[in-house]
Amino acid sequence: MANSNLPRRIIKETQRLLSEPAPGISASPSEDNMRYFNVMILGPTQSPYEGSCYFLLIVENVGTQCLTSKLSLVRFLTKIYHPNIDKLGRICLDILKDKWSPALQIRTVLLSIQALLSAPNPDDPLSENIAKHWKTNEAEAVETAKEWTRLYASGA
Amino acid sequence: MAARYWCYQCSQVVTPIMEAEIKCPFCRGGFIEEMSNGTRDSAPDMDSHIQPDRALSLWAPILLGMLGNPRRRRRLRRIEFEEEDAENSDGEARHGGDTDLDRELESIIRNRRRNSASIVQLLQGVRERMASEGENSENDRDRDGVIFINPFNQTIIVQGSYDSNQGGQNRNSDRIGSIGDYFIGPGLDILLQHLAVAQNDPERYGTPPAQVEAIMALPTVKIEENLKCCVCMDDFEAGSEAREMPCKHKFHSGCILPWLEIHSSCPVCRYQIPAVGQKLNSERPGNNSNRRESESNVHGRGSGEGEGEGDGRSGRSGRRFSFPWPFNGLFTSGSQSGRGNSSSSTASSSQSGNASQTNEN
Repeated sequence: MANSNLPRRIIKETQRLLSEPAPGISASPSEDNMRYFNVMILGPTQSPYEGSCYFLLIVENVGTQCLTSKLSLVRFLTKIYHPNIDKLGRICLDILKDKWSPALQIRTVLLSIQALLSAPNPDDPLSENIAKHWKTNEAEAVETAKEWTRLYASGA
Repeated sequence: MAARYWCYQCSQVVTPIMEAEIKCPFCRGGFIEEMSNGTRDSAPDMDSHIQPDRALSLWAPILLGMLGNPRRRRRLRRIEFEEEDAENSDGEARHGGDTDLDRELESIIRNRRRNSASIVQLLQGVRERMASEGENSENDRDRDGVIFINPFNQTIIVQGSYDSNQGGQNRNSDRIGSIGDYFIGPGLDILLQHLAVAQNDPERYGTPPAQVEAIMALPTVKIEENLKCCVCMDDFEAGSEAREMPCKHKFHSGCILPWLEIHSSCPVCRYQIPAVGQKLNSERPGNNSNRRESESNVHGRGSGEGEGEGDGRSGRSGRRFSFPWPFNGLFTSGSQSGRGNSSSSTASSSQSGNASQTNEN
């Protein structure tokens, strides 16, 4: 259906995502509508999310402004204890906001998200409580994150 | 006729199961409400229209979930339960966990795969429906506390504060509608786009739009080397023309201009060209106050400010108005702001004088 007038760039990005997947990341377009990407990110090693597997949904920006505006929506579908990700799975990441550039691609965005898992940034929190936890007692917060990882994100 | 009940979950009139709790016979949910005749006078007639609405009303909570209001997420959850009902494996959780966030999340996680898939499906279903414009546009029944998405007139209505008589089952009673919530859109694509936009409030972030003069000043260069346009990801054809930013990054005109209409930074390196509100700004009413100051500055900027966001922000107030607020598109059929014409007409002839000035700095 909606694939007929898919912007060339989405096609290109998709091809590249499929042909040269980034390590620890898999992203595949929905069969029915290639604007929707189902994404899986493996928790980076040496992070509290190691050994886990997170699902995200990306809806590539729709409409003619696709290339000049940011990705419509990137969201964690898996529960995660992270100061920059809220309980709705929204992600606080500068390149998704003020640092967006049309030169960014799904791939680069996902790599950034992966990096965010490696390096939580409680100074720019989305979840105040988690950030507070992180700042006051990082060890404990990391433990909680590991716990959540085990509970919610282990196994694919 | 006996009391008629509306199941918000199934979006249809039901004859409820009267047990300790009143339940819908189909979804076994308690989210039903007795219908008074007053609110839906031609109800029998409308019932025929209700069925097609079903998928759409399912879709509504997702939209709202995207909006990021946690309250609305509850509705999203209900959808998951609805899916789950197909297997009917989780009836208890539905009743026990209504107010329990953890349960909610649990179920999301349990369903995560199916969930994403089904969200996608829903999105598509709705878009399809939106695409096929229909005959009837009178489906906006005047009920409170409900989210309507009407496939026929492409309307989404969120209304708040219905009187709940559902007791504990009624999770939404006092809380819907905190945004006032009328969306009337020409199509779901735009709606989706703008909802996502609303979520991050994005175009208010980042660099302000580039000045038209600065855009005009970008030289057009011939591409000889093997080069890719980073916006469309296509290679330049040998000998084709491209616009060159002061930072020497080159893009197709059609790729870079729309971006510069909303932001003033280089997509690749974030080098910032003069932005609206920063200086010369003759085309914008309301920005005239900045003008004198800007004119005096006009040659002093444009470089060494690759990350000059601070400057850009200071000039914001003027630009806000001329800028498409995310929801404007919903009412104007997705038009971009009026900027389009002026700057795209400048695509060809470049005033290289200005450009070189910018370059010098």
